[in-house]
Amino acid sequence: MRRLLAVSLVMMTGLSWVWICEARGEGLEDNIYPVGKLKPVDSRLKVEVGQSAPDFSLPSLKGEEVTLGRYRGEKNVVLSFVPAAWTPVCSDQWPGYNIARAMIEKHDAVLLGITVDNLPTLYAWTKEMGDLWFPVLSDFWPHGAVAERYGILRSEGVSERALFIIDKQGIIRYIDVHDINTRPDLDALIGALADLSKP
Amino acid sequence: MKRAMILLVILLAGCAGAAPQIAEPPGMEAPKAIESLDIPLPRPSSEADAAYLGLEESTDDFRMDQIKAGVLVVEVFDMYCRFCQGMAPKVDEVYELNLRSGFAGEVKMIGIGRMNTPLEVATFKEKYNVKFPLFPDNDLSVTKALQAQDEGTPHFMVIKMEPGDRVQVVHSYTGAFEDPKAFYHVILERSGLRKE
Repeated sequence: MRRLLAVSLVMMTGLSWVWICEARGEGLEDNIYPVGKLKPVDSRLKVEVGQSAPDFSLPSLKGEEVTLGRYRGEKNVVLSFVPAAWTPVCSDQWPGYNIARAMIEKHDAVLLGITVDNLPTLYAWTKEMGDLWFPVLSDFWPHGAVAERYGILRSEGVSERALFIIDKQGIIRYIDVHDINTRPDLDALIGALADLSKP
Repeated sequence: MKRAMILLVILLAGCAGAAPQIAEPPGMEAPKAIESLDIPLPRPSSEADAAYLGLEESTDDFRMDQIKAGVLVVEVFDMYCRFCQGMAPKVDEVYELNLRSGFAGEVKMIGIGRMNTPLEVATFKEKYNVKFPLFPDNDLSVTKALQAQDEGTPHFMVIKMEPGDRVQVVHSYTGAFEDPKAFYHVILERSGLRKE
């Protein structure tokens, strides 16, 4: 009888937890840390359109080291820096890119997502987003070093919300250091990718 | 032993208390008070969508109250919203259920892409093969006119279109729903097309 009661207790505890989790929804929105309104831009760019993109190697969630230079001569590259995991705007920008894959690849481009968070944080955060098709890279250590080289590391230690397009020759062709509080629309990015193929 | 039994009873009572949070049918929110659907929309680029809404060929921009329907189901969504992405197949199932019902001419569905550009809405429509018309609302003007600017996405509204351009929001709901059939039943029941 005691054993039956103990089993019942364990089952009921588990069941009630499942109910509560389901009632809360799927998790991501409930776990977003409210950051309030931030200074739109809080850094000074160190690169410009027309110059070679500084090369870098960063660890990805898949466990590999991704080097920007490996795409030279093969693919255009979109770098999407977002400020931080578990914050508003960032948490829906990438799910949006998740359904824009065909449009990005149509322009012979790859997308690299970068934040200054460490890999375990990025793992938990992106898992909540579902499967992302593009590599997610951690610019955690040395902290924000790549963001700093591009001139988009903010004073509080996170990166700007910024997009860079680098062509197959490794030249920066587009920069959007966006207001950190708002999401860049897809049109500008896709339009800039389309411009790459114009003579 | 008695203590263990009491504990079990308390736990069962607690579980019973937690369960109704998901057992509630969609639509426990108070419907909004919108007086008219004098809300401008651009003509859909797809002729099939324009025909679905019952728009004349000569109509370019139109008002929401020109849609030929007795009941209008509006989904306010966001292409970037993961829940909206996940819900797209279920919302499509609601559309299919309506198509197969006897109310296809009476009940129409549209989507409003909150803060979405035309390209973003087109991306969403293509990705999820959405069969009903979607409209961009980059400046939030439509969402605000529907009084849905403070709602999360997806947000659903069932609007009964009454004689004399009067409208009544008979149901509104924010969030995901599990069962398209149950949701469609709520649409019909709240709009008075089918009794409970």
